[in-house]
Amino acid sequence: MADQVAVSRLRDRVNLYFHKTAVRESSSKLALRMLSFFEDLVRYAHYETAEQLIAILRAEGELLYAAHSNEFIIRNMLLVVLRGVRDECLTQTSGSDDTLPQADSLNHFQRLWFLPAPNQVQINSAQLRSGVLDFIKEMKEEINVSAEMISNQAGHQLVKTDTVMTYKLSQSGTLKKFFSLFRAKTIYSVDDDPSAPANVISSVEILSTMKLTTRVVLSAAAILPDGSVVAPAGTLNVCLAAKRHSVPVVFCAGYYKLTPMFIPHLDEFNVQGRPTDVLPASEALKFSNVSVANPLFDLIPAHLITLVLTQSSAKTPLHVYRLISDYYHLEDFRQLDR
Amino acid sequence: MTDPKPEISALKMFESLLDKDPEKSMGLAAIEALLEVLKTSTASTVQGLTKDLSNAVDEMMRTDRSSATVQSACELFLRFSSLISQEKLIDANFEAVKCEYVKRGNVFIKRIEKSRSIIAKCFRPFIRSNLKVLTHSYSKVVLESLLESKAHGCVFHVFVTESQPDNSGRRMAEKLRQSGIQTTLILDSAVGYIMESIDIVVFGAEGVMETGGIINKIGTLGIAICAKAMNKPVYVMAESIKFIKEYPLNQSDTPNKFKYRYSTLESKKDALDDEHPLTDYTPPQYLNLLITDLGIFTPAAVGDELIKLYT
Repeated sequence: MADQVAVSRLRDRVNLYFHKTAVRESSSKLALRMLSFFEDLVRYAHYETAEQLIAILRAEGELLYAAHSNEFIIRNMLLVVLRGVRDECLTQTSGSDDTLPQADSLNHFQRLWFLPAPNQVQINSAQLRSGVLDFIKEMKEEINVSAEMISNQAGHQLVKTDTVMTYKLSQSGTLKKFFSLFRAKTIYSVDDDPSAPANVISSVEILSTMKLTTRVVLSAAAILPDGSVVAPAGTLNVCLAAKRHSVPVVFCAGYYKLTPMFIPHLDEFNVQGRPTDVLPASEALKFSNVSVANPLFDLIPAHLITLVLTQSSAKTPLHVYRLISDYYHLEDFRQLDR
Repeated sequence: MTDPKPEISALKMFESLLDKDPEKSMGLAAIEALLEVLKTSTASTVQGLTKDLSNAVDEMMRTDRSSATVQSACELFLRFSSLISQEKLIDANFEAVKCEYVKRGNVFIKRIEKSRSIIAKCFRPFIRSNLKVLTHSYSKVVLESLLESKAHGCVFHVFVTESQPDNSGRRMAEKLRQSGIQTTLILDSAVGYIMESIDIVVFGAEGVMETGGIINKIGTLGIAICAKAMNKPVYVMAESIKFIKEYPLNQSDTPNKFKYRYSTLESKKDALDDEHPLTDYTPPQYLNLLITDLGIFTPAAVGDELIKLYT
């Protein structure tokens, strides 16, 4: 079948993308690439009903996520697209531009506890296709402007005279944009390379510098529904020091980092970097009885965080779970397979 | 128009269902009893039917078992079954309306029967091998989740508190040992001592409040505070039928019907000060996550879910 060939070719191409990149690209580029993958699937796969489209997207998305399970963004983007498909379905069946009001209690009970009745109304698949493609385009646009929109909120969170501490500024696209649009008086960047546009300090100086700091602004790798955050390794030190000195901690992340999964133990998901980053290979023989670990991420618990900034809102960690239902549909993330 | 008394006593039915199958969820038994009352009701109007059902609920609340669970389960069942009446009320044929009620009741029951296995599945990622789990008293939901994790190959050690005055922790420990899980029975007073070696704390619940806090066997609050002081995560497992629309602010705020059994309330109406309460209220700040069949929630999110269920 022509569309099976098309789908498998798309699958091969996206897997090749992962193999080709030696250094991991920024999260926003990965999110855009994932959206393009799903966009191509919507465009070239063959389907008659919304259920079929959802089944195809889910099959391909879950397969890809199983192959690269340390990349939450793959599944987040899958859920975004599935939400778009369901919304498009709803708009078409209700025949209006507004989606059905949430207050319909019968629908609510139905959705909360049971699978909804199979869509009896025939959807025009061409209309569905174009609707979903429009939605994906909007979502891509939102990713492109997310760094800028986060930075626009900087004025509400910081003043010019603030002393700000951040972590590894040069490695985060979001933070670089943030500080280029908002010039704080003094910026300290921990564990950064000397070329960064800030005062670089090492991690041993965190506590002494924290006494002078008024704000901590950090970038998240993933935001979990209980308000905790997955961040680059070493961030936990900064957050604990900030708590000690009562300095507010603000995390910035685009919506594509919202992950509808709880992580009780980060060990299962933590990515290990190269051991040679910690211990050079020339020393390996001397330390042959030493096991070298290089975890790339830290889990920051919710009680250390003051605020989470996404491109559309600023929320306390207690209320982050509301964002999840803004971007993803109940059906899709309810029974997720880890 | 007086409605004749329903032939089946709801309370007797409820008790017999639980006697026949002691592992059955209490809430499930309550709603099955209500469905029977619904089927055999001789009322001929919607109002009469509702009156029969609320009489049955009042009767079942006179049980010495957990009244929090019975109340919430019955209220949710009645809300769910009667949600059709707005649309179909125009239909003058009462028999058809009653049929709809029964049909929806059956659908609801079928879904609630699966609650415990859904919770067990949701809980699996939280258990790793070589974990030390602390639990309190006897909870069927916690038991099923732990058994399921064991069946999937996890090896862990469970510490169960004895849970006086009824020694229910002993039953829990026996059941766990029967399935080959390493179990230790500890004194209620030994919780502080054991907490430093524990990895996670798991509770069931008799009721989940709108605040996100829970009502559970007496002693739960002490264990939760101890866990918080030593930075151990506390997880609560509760089926969705246990969500209650009450907002207690402290222990004295919780209604007496949840704290004492019915027989105690009847016999010692004025001298309750001498009675020991059988449950306590654990506020949401001591809980990490609630695992329900509607999904995993933070205590703050539970309030939102409850509003959706009860509107």
